[in-house]
Amino acid sequence: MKVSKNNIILFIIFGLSFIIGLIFLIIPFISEMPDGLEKVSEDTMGFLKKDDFMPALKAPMPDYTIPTVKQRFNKQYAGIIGVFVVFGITVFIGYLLRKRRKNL
Amino acid sequence: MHIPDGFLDTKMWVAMGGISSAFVTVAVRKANKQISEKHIPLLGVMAAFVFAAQLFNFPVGGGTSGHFMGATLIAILLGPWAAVLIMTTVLTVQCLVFQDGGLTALGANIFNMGIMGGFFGYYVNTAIQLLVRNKKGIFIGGFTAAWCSIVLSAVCCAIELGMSGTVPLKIVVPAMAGIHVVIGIGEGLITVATLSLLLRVRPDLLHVQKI
Repeated sequence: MKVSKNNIILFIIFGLSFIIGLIFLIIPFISEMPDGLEKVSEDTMGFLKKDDFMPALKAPMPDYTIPTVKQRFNKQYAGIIGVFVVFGITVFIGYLLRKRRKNL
Repeated sequence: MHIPDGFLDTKMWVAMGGISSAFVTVAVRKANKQISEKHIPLLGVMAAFVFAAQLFNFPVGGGTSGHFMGATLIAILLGPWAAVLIMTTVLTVQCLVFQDGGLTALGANIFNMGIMGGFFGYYVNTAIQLLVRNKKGIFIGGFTAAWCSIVLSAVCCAIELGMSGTVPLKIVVPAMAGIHVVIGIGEGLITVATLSLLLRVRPDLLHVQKI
């Protein structure tokens, strides 16, 4: 893989656009059913639903929803914010950890 | 499969936090030696992809859904230590920003999905690729490894719940394994679909140096 700045920027733009497109495509089809662990805990313990427990910390966007905003694409926006946060943090960590020329 | 706060007792979540911290420390050291500039955009985009794909809960019947985990996919493309790093980032953001998975259970979640999922998936895939040395091997390896990683993660999760005294082990292990045998098929299909897409548009990405 040739490393040129242009290639990298194109890869990131293409990659992130693809992911954001994917979010808009899949979010309307998300199943609201409990997931494997939630289902098992409901079945085996009867009472254990996520909401029955106090979370140790209040997150700004619980359940991938922006709380104050009531609009159609709420979950999509929350998802896109998450994508950029995860991308940003990972790239930042990558830069911190990368091999530096003087270390080679 | 994100364990919320309150499902694990104190000794369990402290222990899992310790084990995961140790693994993450080693992952950081390994990455420090091996991440090159060309890894960085790929790490970022794959982490973003895993986060987005995890949003998609698909129905698996019986009033239950499952979602993609992604540790195996990353381990196949970038290596098991990269999977530990990326899964740690994704799970931490999910916990702190979206309240998906408890803060006290973060160590356990990183262990189950990132460490066990990533390493087991990686080695299952490597073994199968050695046996089936062609393009088919990539798909058979990817599907099998992804399926195995989900079932193993679910069993680990169940054992932690059982040992915490939240649910009897005898009940929770077969129940979690049973559901995730089905969810694993979804994981396998998404992993194979992503690998085949990459094989078409950027086959070079399948040969990036592993971390």
